[in-house]
Amino acid sequence: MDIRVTGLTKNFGSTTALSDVSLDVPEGSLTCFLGPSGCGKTTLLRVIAGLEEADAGQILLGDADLSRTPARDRNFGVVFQSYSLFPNLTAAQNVAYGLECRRWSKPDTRRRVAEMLDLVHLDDQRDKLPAQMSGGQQQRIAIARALAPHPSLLLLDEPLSALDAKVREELRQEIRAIQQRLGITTIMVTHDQNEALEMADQIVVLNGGKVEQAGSARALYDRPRTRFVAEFIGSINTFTVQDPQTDPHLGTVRLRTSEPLKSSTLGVRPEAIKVLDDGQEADNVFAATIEKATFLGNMTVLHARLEAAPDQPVVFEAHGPADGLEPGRKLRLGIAAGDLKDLA
Amino acid sequence: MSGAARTAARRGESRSLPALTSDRGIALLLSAIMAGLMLVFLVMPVAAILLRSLDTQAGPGLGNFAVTFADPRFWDLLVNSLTVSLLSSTLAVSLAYLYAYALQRSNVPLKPLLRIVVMMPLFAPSLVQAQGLLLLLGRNGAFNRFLGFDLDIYGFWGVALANTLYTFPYAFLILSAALAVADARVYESATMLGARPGRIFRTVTLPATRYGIAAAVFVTFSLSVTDFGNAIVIGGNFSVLATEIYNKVIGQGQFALGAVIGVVLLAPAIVSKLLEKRISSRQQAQMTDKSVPLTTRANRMRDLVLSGYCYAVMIVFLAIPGIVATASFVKLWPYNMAFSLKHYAFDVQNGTEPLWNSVYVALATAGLGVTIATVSAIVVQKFRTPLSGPLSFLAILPSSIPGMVLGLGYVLAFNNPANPLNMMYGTLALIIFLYVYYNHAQAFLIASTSLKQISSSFDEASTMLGGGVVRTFFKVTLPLLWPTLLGVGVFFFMRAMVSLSAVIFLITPETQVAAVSVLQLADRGAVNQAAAFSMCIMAIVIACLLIVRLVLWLAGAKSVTLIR
Ligand SMILES: Nc1ncnc2c1ncn2[C@@H]1O[C@H](COP(=O)(O)OP(=O)(O)OP(=O)(O)O)[C@@H](O)[C@H]1O
Ligand SMILES: [Mg+2]
Repeated sequence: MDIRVTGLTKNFGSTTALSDVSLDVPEGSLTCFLGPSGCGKTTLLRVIAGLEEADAGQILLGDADLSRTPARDRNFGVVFQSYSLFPNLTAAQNVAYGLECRRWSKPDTRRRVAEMLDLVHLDDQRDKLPAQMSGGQQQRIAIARALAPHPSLLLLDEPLSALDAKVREELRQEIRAIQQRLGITTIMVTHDQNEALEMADQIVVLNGGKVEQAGSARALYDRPRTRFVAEFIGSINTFTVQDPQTDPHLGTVRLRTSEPLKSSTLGVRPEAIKVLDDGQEADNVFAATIEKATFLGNMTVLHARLEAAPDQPVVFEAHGPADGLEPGRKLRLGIAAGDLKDLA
Repeated sequence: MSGAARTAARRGESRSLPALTSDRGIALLLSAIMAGLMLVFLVMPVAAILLRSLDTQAGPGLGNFAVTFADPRFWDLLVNSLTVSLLSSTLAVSLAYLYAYALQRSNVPLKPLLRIVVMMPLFAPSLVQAQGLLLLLGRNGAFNRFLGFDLDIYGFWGVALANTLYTFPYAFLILSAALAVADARVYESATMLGARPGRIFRTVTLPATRYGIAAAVFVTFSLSVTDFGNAIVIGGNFSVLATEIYNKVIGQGQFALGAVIGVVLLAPAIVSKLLEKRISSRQQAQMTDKSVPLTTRANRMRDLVLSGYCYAVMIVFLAIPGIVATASFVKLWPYNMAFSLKHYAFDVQNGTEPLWNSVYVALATAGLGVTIATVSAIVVQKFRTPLSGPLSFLAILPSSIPGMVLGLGYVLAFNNPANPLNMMYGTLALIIFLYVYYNHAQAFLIASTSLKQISSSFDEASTMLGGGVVRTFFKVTLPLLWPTLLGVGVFFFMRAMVSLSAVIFLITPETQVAAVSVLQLADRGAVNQAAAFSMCIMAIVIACLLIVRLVLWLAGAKSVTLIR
């Protein structure tokens, strides 16, 4: 069933952790909450889990209002950042915990535990205590434990952030694979944009307790609505445009856009800026001077100054060693009309 | 998944509101029970003292206070109490500071032995110090009888010395903890700036431990002011306020005047507790996670001097139980020193009954005390009910009430036909509750601290998996907490075995406990039997410590503190 959150607001004393948050999590999808530290991701997750009570707003599972259902009866699985396995119980006992709470029969429990340990490839660790397992193994057990009682929603709060890079990479793929295989509706909190881009069907970008934008990775990258989203996902050049609504131009150059502009802030992704050969044309053409070239192996990052607007530096990329693009070199840059993004 | 399992899973899903009310219900019920118990066994007795002190023949008023304050004897006793306590507190803290310093900051050999020996006074009723001192330095003591001295220990000096020995371990525990934390970087900076050891001690060590010193002074002072066992045994004609309550109440049945002195005794204890709390809350931020622990450098001269000191202190602390043991094993101290076990026959009074009463009471106190302290800590820490605030205040209140005053409060409150719990008066059950609430503060703090260390994410994980508060407690919290709780149990057991002043007013012939027997035997001049009784108490306490240590060792929980 879909999860629908409407108008959620939560204050801690004088700090507003969430203000009027609304979003939809479609059944079977993986949604990431992405945002900088302190933006309210954990709070939102905990409110959905029922571990924290919202000041206003509704949480709907399908058509059922969950606001008055206590956390332990919501039948949601949660994986915390770290160290939440019961230290006195073995891996198998941890996985069985939720089943015992639901009074499953012994044989059913045993079967389900084996199935879950198999799912996370840790059948051989069943009798180990958490302290005897690595961080990555502990998180896998935590995932198995959360999934064992057939939760209707899986909630993950930065499940990978305590792990080192290599394990994190591995587990990312594994979580996604398990999620797709079981088709379980999942919400994951992260502040790592790569994690979100790689795993999510839907990304919800949060900032200061508000939803900035929600959508697929592709939609957020291609059509960011705000400067915050554009800068948070990938990198972007921003320009201030004069007379956006009537006669948009950047410095001395008139701009051709695919849609009329609404705001005066314009974004251009570095890879959308092309170095034009002599005689080659583009929707928007700028004369520019290279200021700095940083060689990064597979590409070179170039900083340039536009003649039309010398006060607004621009960064773009060239693939490979980019011979001849050394500082001081003058060149023409082209940007397609559709690559000029209107940012609120 | 099988059909049965599926229905089970669904059942979990559909139990919605009742579960909420049942968890909430458990929280409220437990809070209410804890609050009720505290009202009956803590607030009511204290209130009874206050009310009784204001109760005069002419109706409520300050008449009793006026009578007491107009009596010059009261002021003499007050001065006696203050001077003797000030002296013993100063002595205990200075001696314990040096001792703790030697153990924490130098390479004195045999540290574990040195540490355990000075704990001996905690294993026996306070008055064993006075007993031992009399056997050593009294009229019939070893020094006068066998070594030809002519000492007179009775009176002021005897009480001061006995209380010094009795309060030394309390001071040592506090100061040892204060000296255990040190940031090596500060010491290294001081050395690099050219400070010599004497200056470093004055400018770094002493300031860093001044809160510990203040706390130790307060604790030892309140212990001395309110102790009456030593004063009665070794004081001779020298009386203090604590002995005066005893005389007024037991000797003359003047409850109102006893209550007045009780209120007076409450004052310094409360003041020093308040100050201690304020001071210890400032102690916190001394160590940061960046601190580098101090390692002890080799220094032969220092180690030699401090070893000399430590072993001298150790000999004194061994001499007291040693001489008491000797007295218990001879025919008639000091006239017939032939070996004999006859004092262990306990053929006087009620025989061994007080001893078994004590063991029973101490075990029950441990069981009930651990339960009550743990539940209170959970109620305050984990349940957010309207009662949590008042409970957390009441839970630590008893640490400011002297045992004797609380005991008197119990008599006034429960020996009252109007009290529906009047039938508890004269039973061991009431004594058990008295011990539980007398020691509640410290046990509660230990339990709360350990609870706080158990991450709240375990509770949340359990909740999300569908576990209720009861299941979470028994499946997760208790298995993590039991070694600490066993330690709390030992603490209750020890205190219940040795406390004298708290129960002195509640004793009836049927509910005699061992510590009171020692007092009565000593009072009657049955020196050898009193010594034998003391030895039995110490043996039981030490046996309990050893057994629990063994259990913890077998369970792999080695770092639990048992002596507090
Ligand atoms: N229990 C609490 N009491 C008071 N303030 C809180 C509490 N929990 C969160 N906050 C505040 O609410 C805001 C949002 O916190 P939250 O933990 O949801 O952020 P987050 O996005 O998860 O950050 P991070 O990435 O650092 O985990 C912060 O300003 C935080 O200080
Ligand atoms: Mg967070």
